Amino acid sequence: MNVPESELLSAYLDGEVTAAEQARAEELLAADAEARRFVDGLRALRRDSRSCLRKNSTRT
Amino acid sequence: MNEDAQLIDRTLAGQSAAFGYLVEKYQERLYNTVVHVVGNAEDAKDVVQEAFVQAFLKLASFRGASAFYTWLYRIALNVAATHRRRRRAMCSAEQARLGDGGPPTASQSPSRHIEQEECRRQVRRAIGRLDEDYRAVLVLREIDGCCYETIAEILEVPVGTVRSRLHRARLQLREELKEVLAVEP
Repeated sequence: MNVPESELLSAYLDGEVTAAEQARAEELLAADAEARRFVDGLRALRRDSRSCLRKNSTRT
Repeated sequence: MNEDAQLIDRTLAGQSAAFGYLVEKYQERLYNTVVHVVGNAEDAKDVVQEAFVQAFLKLASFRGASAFYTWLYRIALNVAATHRRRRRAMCSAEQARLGDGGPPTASQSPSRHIEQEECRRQVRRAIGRLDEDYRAVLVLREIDGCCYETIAEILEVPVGTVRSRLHRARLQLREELKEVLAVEP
């Protein structure tokens, strides 16, 4: 997977892609196991880091 | 006219108490973003306070081209950047804390609590190691939940730059945290 593809998948995860990009991302995910692992990894990273950071941002 | 615009107009008409409502409305949200940009609670409080002072002083220059909070965030991020530069110059040894997240709950064992605290500490440290540009984008997206367009507006960069910075920030963070979080390399 090259940089434009991983950048596309990162934006896809955020729902910040055009219709054409969405189709391209879904095509990539259907065909490429590495792309699927990449998106799963980013999703886990986002979930875990959000959970860590939000818990600690309460004003004291 | 929306509520913010009314409060701004009232402030500019001399009713400075109206600005207090804007402070009340946005201070928590601003703090929750800034604390991750500057990396500690004490500095974040200073930055938020300074940002509101600057916003009050510059309010007449606010044209309403963007939402008030977008404008306010931009000020706060500029203040935060200045603050960080000052901090670096001073080479302060102080590592301020973000708060300990409270005591362990009854259902949580002390060892599990320590493990979670360690994980949070490492996430904060990894974010702190990101370049300033990457960190701002990541925090605005992940903590504040801003869309790319709003982030672009706040940071005054193209949407494409937001997208690529966020991608790079995530890759760097993933690399830094692969041992800590359940993230595949």
